[in-house]
Amino acid sequence: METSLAVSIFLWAVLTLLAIAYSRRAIVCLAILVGSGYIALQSNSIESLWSLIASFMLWMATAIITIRRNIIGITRRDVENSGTLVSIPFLIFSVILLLEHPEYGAAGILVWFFLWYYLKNACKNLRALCLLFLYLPTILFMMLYRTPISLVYGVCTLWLQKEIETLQNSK
Amino acid sequence: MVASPNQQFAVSLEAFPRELEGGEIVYFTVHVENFVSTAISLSGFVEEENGAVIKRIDGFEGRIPPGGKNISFSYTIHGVGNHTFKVFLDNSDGKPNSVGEEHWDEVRVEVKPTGNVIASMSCDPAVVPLDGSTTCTVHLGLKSADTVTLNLEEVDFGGKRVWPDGPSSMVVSRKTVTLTPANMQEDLTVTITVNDELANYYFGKPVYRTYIDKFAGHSYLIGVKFDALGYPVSDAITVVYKDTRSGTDKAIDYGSTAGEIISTAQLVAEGSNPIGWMVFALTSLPKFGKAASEIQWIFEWGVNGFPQENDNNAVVGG
Repeated sequence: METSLAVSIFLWAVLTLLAIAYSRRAIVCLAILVGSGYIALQSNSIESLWSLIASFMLWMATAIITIRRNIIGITRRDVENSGTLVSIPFLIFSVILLLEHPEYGAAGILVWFFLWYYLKNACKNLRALCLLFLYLPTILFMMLYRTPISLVYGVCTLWLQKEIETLQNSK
Repeated sequence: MVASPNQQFAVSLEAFPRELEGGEIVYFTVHVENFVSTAISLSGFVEEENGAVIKRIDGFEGRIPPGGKNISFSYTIHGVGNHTFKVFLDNSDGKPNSVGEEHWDEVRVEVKPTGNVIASMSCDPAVVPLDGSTTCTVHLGLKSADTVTLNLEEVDFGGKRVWPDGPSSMVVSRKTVTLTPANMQEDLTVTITVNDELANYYFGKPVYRTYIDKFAGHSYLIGVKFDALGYPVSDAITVVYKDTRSGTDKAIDYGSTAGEIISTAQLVAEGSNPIGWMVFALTSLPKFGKAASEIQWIFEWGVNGFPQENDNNAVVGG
């Protein structure tokens, strides 16, 4: 195996161990993710591979937020920035698009930048509009890859939503 | 086998049958004698006269108990002429470089023509790095004056049909050869480039980049079939590793490793910020893509590995 990949796998292993040590939701979400991967493999549905990769990326992103909350604690800035986290699923969706449709992916990242600053103020509380932004990428994945396996992205988003709520409730 | 007093081991190579008509399976046996009272670990290979490795000996197979051991494998030989196979074994690094105790032996197998057409093929170079190419020249001749038209039907690479309807990595110089009493010898060439396109055709395309690196470390039988010839002509090539990544690919690989670690550390230590998340997402992408490609390879998920063979040799498709 290539060294650069081995380094990444080591990093993922550390993040995974820390996340499951701190959060039961991390374990449940990971179990659903691995289970969906197994179903996708058994049913040979190759089109779900990108949704699974995206879900794993979102899982890692949420793991980082959880690990920070448990190691560093919740700072005032974390609470102020909590609304911006609503945009993370959209960022990962745009980045995944980069490989097959680079022009849409690049446009998506640009939109995400504006979305970050808009959501910072607009989503100090998770109102309906924020939930729409949060789950929109799951719907987009389902439309793009036409597989129910994409729902697992929604499961990881739910964990992220709970993390955002934890941050906002600590005000 | 003649042993000197200080010798640890001796090796000999046998083949059966040693005379073939047209071409068929040959059974090889490497006899290794161990003169010391403990098991010894040897490594080496069996190669064709052009240097293509048809069998690797190492690991468990290279462990020789006191007394000795026979290592058997089979290999299909086509192409009229004399074929010399050499075995090499040593007790240090498995390479013929005068380091450690090294021994060679060889055996010759003769392939005789069955009909009036004498066909053989040789690929040059026989050892090809990734992204490199080899040219296989098919020599066609007649034993007695006649007029024969041979149409190229198929070219196989590593047990898979790659021409016609294959990747552009395969180029044939001509499709038809006519031998006449006035022109009893003709050549035809097949050029094969071991590139990304061949990898995508042979293994399938993974979600990220290609499986070109998987070609390295194996030998492949290249077989050419003609309609008027009852058997194929073939030769083996060995593919060796070369870093085929472009400068951009390398920058992505090293840059993304650094970016992933730094952005993760920063996001944990300092908290959310747009640059951190963007770097994290962008640098994770190639890694997740690569990991997914490896998972695809392990489970043959939408891609193909090597064909199953029970011949115990190192040649895919041979």
